Amino acid sequence: MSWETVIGLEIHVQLDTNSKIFSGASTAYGSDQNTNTSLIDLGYPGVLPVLNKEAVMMAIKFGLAVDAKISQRSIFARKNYFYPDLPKGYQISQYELPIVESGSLEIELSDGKRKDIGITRAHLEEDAGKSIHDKFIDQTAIDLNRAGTPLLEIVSEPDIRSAEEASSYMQKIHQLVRYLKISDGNMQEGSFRCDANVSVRPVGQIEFGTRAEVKNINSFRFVENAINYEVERQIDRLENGDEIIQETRLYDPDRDETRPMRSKEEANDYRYFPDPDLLPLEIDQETIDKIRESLPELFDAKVTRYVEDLKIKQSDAEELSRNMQIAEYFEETLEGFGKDAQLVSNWILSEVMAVLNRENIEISAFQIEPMRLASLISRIEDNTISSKIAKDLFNQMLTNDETVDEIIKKQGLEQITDEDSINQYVTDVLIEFSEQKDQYLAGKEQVLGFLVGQVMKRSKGKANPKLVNELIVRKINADTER
Amino acid sequence: MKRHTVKEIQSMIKSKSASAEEIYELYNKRIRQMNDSINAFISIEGDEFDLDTKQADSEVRGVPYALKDIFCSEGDQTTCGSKMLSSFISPYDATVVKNLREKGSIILGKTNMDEFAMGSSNETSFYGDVSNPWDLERTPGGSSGGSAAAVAAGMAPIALGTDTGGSIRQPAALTGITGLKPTYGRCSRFGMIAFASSLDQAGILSISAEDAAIFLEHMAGFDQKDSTSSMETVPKYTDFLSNDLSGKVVGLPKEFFDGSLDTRFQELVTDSIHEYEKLGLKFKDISLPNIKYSVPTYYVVAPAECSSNLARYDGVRFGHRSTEGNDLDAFYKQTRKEGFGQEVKRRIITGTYVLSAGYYDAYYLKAQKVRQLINQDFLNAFEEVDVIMGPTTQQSAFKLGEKVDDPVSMYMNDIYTISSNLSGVPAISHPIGFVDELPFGLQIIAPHFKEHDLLNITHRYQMATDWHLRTPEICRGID
Amino acid sequence: MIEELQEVDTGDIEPMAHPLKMTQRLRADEVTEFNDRDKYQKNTDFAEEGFYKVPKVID
Repeated sequence: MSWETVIGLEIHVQLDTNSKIFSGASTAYGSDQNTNTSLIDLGYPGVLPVLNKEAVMMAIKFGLAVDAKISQRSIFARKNYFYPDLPKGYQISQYELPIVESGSLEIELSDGKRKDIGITRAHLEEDAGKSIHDKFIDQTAIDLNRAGTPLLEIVSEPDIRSAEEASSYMQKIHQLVRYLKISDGNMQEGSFRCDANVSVRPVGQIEFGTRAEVKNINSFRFVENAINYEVERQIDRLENGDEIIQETRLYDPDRDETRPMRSKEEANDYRYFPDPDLLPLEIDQETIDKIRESLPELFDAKVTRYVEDLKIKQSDAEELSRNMQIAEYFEETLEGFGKDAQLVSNWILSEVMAVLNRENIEISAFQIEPMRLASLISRIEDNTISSKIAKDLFNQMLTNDETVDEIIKKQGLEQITDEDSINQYVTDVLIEFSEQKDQYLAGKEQVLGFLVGQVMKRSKGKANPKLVNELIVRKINADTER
Repeated sequence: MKRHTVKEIQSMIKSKSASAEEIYELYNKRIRQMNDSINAFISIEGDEFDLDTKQADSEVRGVPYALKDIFCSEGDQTTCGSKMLSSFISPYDATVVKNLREKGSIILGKTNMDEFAMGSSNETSFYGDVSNPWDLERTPGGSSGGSAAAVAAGMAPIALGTDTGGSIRQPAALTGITGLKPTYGRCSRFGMIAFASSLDQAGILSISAEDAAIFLEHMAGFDQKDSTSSMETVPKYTDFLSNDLSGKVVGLPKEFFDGSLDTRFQELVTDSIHEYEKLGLKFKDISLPNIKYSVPTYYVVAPAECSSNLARYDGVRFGHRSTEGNDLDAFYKQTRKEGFGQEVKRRIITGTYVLSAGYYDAYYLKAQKVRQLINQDFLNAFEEVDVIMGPTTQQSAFKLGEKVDDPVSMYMNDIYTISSNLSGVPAISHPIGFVDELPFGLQIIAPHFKEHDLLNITHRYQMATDWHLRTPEICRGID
Repeated sequence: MIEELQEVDTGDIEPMAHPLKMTQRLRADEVTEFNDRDKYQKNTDFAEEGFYKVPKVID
């Protein structure tokens, strides 16, 4: 029997607003328990919700970025169930008329193929608080700081057919929300949470099989593992003649398995109805258009522009664009030095990235501002310094705040370009390394590199390598002509 | 005893014939003397009398009032008539309370009410029944029974209440006072413990329409904390009180005059109509064809909303908390079983049922559609007439205990009043006479935001008659 | 009693969720509420170290 996997992902993204979706309390992460809770978040008697404008704008941004239809009229609904981290006994969410309706996102697979994954809808809702089970012995501790944080729930169509596709889709959404600056996507802090609805069916069957919902997936690797496990589990059961129970399962990364979860809501009847404390949300076309105009250039468009307009290699363009902030850093550097985008790209992808990785920091913490990097690169390009010297200078600039020109002057790093000086070194080197000279004459051309290196060494790296190369060849040829 | 009106208190304070402290003391004393027999108050302000001089030019500075215990008042016990909140001290003021506080008005105490505002007789309160000052064995109506009794008995010059299905107008009618339910959205609901969010509205119980006009000016208005609060400007209602009534047309819905009303009550209504004709009003027969569905519609919508609104009472962050129950499930069940009374439980169950999968379309959605039809009936009627009149209730105050075992019969009490909550239109009830020494009220309904018409019409009637000034026997011998 | 509603012909009528024809107002994204934990937790005897507590939940 051949089986096909059918997956739909539900991703909850915490929106990066200052205050909560329905109250003016702070959304800051990591505060002391229950210190970011207003009476509204605590569900006190008599309190009422008022909608955060920024949360709405962010939802619209997302919708436009995935070519979705923005509902000009959407409704907030109450999802009713009891749980101690849900203070009102209901969650304000959206049910029948969500703010974002059908859209799609293109993903790329490892074999280079591209595929469109449909997005059924995205809607706004409030996050619940946190239950902490290991704080007290017989009791569960409740921290409601998170209660009321705005969430955007993004639901994909069941178009995903493999764990790899799921991971790719999840990564794409992750990149997108960070690009749009609507979320920091921090999975460790719970800003980006993924649930997978997984089912299998015999190849060729049209009806979907019974699905299980897998929760607690907080990395791209885990989504693949969880799905792989679940698919195998389901196929095993079906091949044994057992049914798949529609249930919620928890992924356990330590054991790499999924287990049925003791449901928090016994009945799945949430008794949705429009929240009478909130009115229909109406968005006019003008607002949507304004937001569309303010959308940042997204990944694919950026890559294309880098390749076509800036003439950068495809793989480099992708590498730079992967992280919005690195792309921004790159573009800012280009503003200071725009002559050779590929050169700038090289510097960022090798030297800058090396520092970021070594020190485990984000580009926002990187010590060299774009303009200073630009001036460094322009000094290479105009031959003031050699690229070798530039690399040393770069390292110095991590801790030295002086301008590039100041450092060059102070340390006398200017490139040596006058032929007489270089010829001095060349002569010395050719005498010392006459063996290599002979090898070169015999046809071993690569030895030239060695000789160039030796001249560079004597000049303390300051000689212009190209010129050195030229002069060595000239001298050797001149000598042999005698 | 003299039941001072707010207007009278204003001039006493202005002319300095009495100070705000003296007036406060007077009412305090009356409350202590009379509350044992009437049980209008759940708690009495013990706070030090404190009047800020910055409210010097406020019209309600120094005017004391009774506050239905459904309104959160900072630092005060706020029980909503329920065991569930018997230990709850509110950390904040409801917006309408804050508005009045800033204007220098003072809370005398929190009045008794049907538990979570669910009831029409004030017999479901955890704090015991309230007695009607006109006959202590009878109900004052509900759910604002305590507020109504307090004003009727002169224990407070004016009181705040809430009206979801008639809870201000019906008790006003049964206790011989004036009760106003403003347009939905006129007054902020922030801090008003929610029963049925799309129907609840804060309002006033007073001796006269003039008093209600004065207080409404200071209570009403847009509140950014309430998304359902209206931005409509608040007019100076007192400016409209003495307007001439000639030319105004009153609709008499045939559904309100179908002969089911006892003849003696019908006579009072007819007399009041004659009085109004003398004042210049013209009367016309109209029809509100869907009005008969207002009771079943209400009893689907209100319980649905309340079942959700009351889900927050779980003992975790405030309120009653059961000490039994070892696991979470048992904990919730016990807490809510112990904390809520019968009527509340009944409505939560009904509400849960009508919202449940498979029933939502047939009940809740259907009810909201019928609601639209009822609203349409009003809009159509108001094309032909300026206001609508009819009796507020089908009968005068019934005996305590008479209807407790028959909730459906209790629900039918709301038949004249419910439709205005469903539509959101403002309505007022004022006394028009007595049958067997028990008061009876007339209801006037106006289009959205036309409270000034209601107050104007009622004021003119009250200038020409004195039903609203009649004082119950129980007040005799009290200062 | 509520079965009576089935008699009514509601055809194409829009359900009425709110009495007034208003739409949702939007609030500026500003932090306006600050830590009042101690004040609020006065309303329960069952808070410890700033947490609310319930009987243990097993997931």
